[in-house]
Amino acid sequence: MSDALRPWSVALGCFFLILPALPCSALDLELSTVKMPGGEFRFHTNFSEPINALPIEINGENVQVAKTPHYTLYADLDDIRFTKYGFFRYKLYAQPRPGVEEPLTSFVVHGEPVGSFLAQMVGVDFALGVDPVDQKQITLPIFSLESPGYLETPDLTEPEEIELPGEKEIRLRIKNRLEKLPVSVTGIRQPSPASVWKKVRILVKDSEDFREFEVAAAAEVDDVLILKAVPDSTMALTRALFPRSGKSEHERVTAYLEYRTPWGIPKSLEIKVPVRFVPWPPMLFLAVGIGALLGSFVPVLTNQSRRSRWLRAFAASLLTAVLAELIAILLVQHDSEFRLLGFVLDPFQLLPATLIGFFMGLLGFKSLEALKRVIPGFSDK
Amino acid sequence: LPGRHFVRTASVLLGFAAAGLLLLVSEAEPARIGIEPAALAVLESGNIVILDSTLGLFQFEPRSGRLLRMVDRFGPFEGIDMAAARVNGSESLFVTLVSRAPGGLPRMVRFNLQGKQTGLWNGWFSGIALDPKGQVAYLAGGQNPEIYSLNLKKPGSLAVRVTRIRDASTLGPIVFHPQQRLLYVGDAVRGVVYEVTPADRTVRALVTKMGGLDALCLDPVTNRLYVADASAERIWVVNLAEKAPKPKTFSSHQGIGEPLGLALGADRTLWVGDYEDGQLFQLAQDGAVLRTVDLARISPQRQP
Repeated sequence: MSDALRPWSVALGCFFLILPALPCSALDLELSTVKMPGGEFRFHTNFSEPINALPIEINGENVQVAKTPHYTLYADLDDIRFTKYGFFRYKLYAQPRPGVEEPLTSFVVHGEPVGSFLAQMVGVDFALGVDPVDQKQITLPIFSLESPGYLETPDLTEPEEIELPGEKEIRLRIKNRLEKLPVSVTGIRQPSPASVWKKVRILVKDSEDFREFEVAAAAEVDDVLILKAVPDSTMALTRALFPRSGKSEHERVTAYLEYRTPWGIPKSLEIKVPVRFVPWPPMLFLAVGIGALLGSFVPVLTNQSRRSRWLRAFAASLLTAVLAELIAILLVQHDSEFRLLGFVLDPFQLLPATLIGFFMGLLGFKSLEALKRVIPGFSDK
Repeated sequence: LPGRHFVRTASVLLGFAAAGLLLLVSEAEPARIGIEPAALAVLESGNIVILDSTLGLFQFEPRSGRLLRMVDRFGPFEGIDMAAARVNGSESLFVTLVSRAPGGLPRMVRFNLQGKQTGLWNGWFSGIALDPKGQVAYLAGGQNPEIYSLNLKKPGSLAVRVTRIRDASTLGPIVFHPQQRLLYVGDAVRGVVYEVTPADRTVRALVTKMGGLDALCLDPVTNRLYVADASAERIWVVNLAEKAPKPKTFSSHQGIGEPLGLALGADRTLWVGDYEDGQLFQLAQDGAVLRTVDLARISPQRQP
């Protein structure tokens, strides 16, 4: 070796001797993509840097920990952030075990959701270190931007009955579809006060107004949210008198619940409560009476019946109409149908009740025959 | 006694006067709102335009410290990015918007400085860069890692694909270098800045391994590219004169929690919009903080 090269070789030798003692900042962390039906969640470790001290409480409630032979990996869940361009930022910290020369390192990891899946806590495989590389799992929450709602209202298909005049409190059942994450209901967009309502609001139990509440993971609650509805009797009676064709509901109360999981993005649940106005029972019989009165006029006005017989005919038809209404109410309450001249009639509504009365009034004395047909088995005797 | 009567009458009158004054003051003082800057742009006047994704556009006058409301919300849309330039002789703002309502069409909208909409282009875009000379807008695709161009002279014209960046994931901010006629576009998820030559559609990864890319800002005079990185909570600076530039931390000032907006002032100071705390920071060329503006403390006024 020439003299000129000797100092260089000594320097090079010294460099390699002290190299293992230098702290290396290139600690690698790789988190595997989580695949599930409907989509996947891709992790990208973009940036890492050595730090002097852990900026988190390692025993904190929302700090996930995974211990490998050489490192302890921490994930601060409270520092998960949804970013401007639609992905999630996680901050993780790798603390070397005693005897490991690598520095304490902070990592910025981005989570990129693809497809649709429910928010969940999952075990994410990771590889950490330089050589050797440790492998383990850490539990992290993952989210999808296109996921279906986490909350649902399971039984709002049948209309809720509101007696007129009056007010009603309806308990709303809410189900959290997430297996391992609670959902916080943070706000509400109250139903718009349509003309049919004097007051309509969704309240939280034991509270004058709405307040934030939590639905535990996989829980179903029916004692928290209450729909308080006070209909305007005149408008509601009009709706009940002229219901929209083909619909058993007269009105639909629509509100939106704003909610979110811890660390996730805000979502909204549309609550649609179908409502049916049921007039106060004496009003139904009044409608039956008016119907019978109107119906009884027709044969007299068309000269098919004598005026002298009108009062008795009306009395007979009123009796049969009231009986028919009572039978119809009993039938419908026991899940049967009430048909008159082939038409299905809802005896709890004003217009059908008036029609029952009208038909009976039209028939006069013959209404007794019609009543026989309505009572099952009676017509055969 | 007349004295007691006078005191009683005077106190009632004073009470009414005080109540009236309070009412006047409360009406004169507009409510303060929590503006969260998601993007910034500088106007020729030196005023800073602030985009709040939901609240709309605001103009901040650095000299007077006044805050003016330019556009009051975007209806069912949310603002993503914004750029300002003089097009067809009038200074305008171009904002990319996405719909909050399902099925709504994302778009780019042009506003004049009075806040009136003067143009509309449909398409799902994230970042926006302007070439005022060529009257062209370059846009990063919101769905695909593609770059598009739009003819600013023809509102409603269709977007033309410039190029697709194969290795990219989610393109975010984009800037145009007017002298070198180059585009710099950030892959927000992977933390990579790409250099794109629109003329021959070539692409190269310029800088990698940054935290996230939330805003880019170019200083064509010093050939510096500033990068707002909310994930790593800092502002990077990249020297574009270098062939293989390494990003350096320009500012990691602790007050800047979530930098999402960047704009270069006429005096070459850098304005940073902090989304988390609703603040503006004015940084000197060495990264030192010159001024902090707490937007929550200023009540926005109507534009004259």
